[in-house]
Amino acid sequence: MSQLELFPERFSCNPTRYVTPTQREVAINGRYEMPLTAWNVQNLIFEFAQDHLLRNPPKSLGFVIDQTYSLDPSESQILLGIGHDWQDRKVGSCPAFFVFRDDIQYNAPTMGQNSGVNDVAESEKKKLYFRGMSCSMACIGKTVGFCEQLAEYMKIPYVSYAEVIQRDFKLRKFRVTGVGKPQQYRATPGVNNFIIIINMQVWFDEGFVLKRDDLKIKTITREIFDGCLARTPIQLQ
Amino acid sequence: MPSNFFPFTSVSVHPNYQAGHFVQWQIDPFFKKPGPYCFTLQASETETFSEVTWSKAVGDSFFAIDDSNLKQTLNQNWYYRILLVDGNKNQYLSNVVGLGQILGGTHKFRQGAEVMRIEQVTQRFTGQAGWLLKLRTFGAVDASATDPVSGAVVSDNRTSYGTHLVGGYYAPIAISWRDLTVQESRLLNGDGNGTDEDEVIEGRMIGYPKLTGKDIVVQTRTDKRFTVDKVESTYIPGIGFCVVQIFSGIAIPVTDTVYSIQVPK
Repeated sequence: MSQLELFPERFSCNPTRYVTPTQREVAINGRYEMPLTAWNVQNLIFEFAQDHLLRNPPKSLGFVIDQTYSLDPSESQILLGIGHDWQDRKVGSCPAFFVFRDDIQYNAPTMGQNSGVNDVAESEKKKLYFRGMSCSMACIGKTVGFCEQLAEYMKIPYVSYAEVIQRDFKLRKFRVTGVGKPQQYRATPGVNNFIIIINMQVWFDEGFVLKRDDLKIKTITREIFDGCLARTPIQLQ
Repeated sequence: MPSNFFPFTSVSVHPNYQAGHFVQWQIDPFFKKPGPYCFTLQASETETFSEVTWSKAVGDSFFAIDDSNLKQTLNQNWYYRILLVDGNKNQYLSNVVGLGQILGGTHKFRQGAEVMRIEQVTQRFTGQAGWLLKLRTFGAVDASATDPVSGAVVSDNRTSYGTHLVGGYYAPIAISWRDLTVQESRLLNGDGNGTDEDEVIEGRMIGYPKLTGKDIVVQTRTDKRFTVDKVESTYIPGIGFCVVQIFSGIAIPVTDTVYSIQVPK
């Protein structure tokens, strides 16, 4: 199964998010599950930003930002991207948001001992092993005041819904730890754009796999195809 | 009645016996009088301006061209000054500049004018067509894009283009320059913030219109826009004419709002 088939919304400019028969089959059969890896957690943060940009355009929240975001790169006036990802359309774009992660720290709160819920019959020992990771969101704007607004706008979902994100996606901890100071960012020297970094800290369990059943009570959209289960195939077309 | 406030920070004149002498001025950025502004070029045969021989209104501009073709020899000197009238009908006069006020007399002036003519001819044959978008430094503030308390720019919209003034830039003015060097690179940003594209040109153009940092030059054949970063000006010793400007132009990303400014093709 290619990424294109699994995540059509990331590759398609179709805002209706048409679900293909292949995707539906995958979803209904429940073959898709998402391990909580550093990459996937980073993608979660990316997708919150994407949903926020699509559902709450900056102007609708009172910000003086005329630019709008679209899934169609040719129409989007705001760039949202993953850090260190080379794409021609991302060259020097402004305004822009980039999501990237920092080092992972491991933490074993049971200090190598069992967690007390061993399965004797299966000879299983269970231990707690956490991964802590800093994730950052870079907000790049043309002027310092504009950049401040971008950062203020983009921190909203992460600050306001930290607990919801934490609960819905089975994260041990999800927090915005700080918003950095504006700094001159010379993506193109001489074009003095500004950058503000939103820092986030995520703790999650090593080896945890998020399945579609886990997301039944979720309150923030995460497209792993559970949304299409409630509908009949006819309704999906 | 002229005001005592003196908003002009510089006035300069450059000889051009073909298209007309080029007079350029700069206004104090703290000049806050209301618009609309109307600039008028006044000319006189005497430095004291005892009599204004003729005048030419140029509206809200940063330059005027004396295309009267009255001064074709050095026998008669014209002096220029600028009259600014603001929205309240207040009048402001600039200092007087002229083409003949050169120590050493007309010989040096003729040498200087000839050097400038040669540079002009060189540009005509080797230069590329372009447009200059001169950054506005004073005028009506774009309230929709500006913080009401601090006055800082909080928006990057298509009325002020990331500046704090309505319009952002003056109407495009045709220029010509030739590229001396072009450097291009595309690298992933080390911090993970996208892809950096550096395209730096070093261009050589005649000494007017005077470039300043943050002006934008537009390459007509590609519509690519460059922000002026550094300007190195060469003057003729003893005369004060700026003959050549060598500027660094930094390519502006195509997503920038300044690309929505229309320039003639």
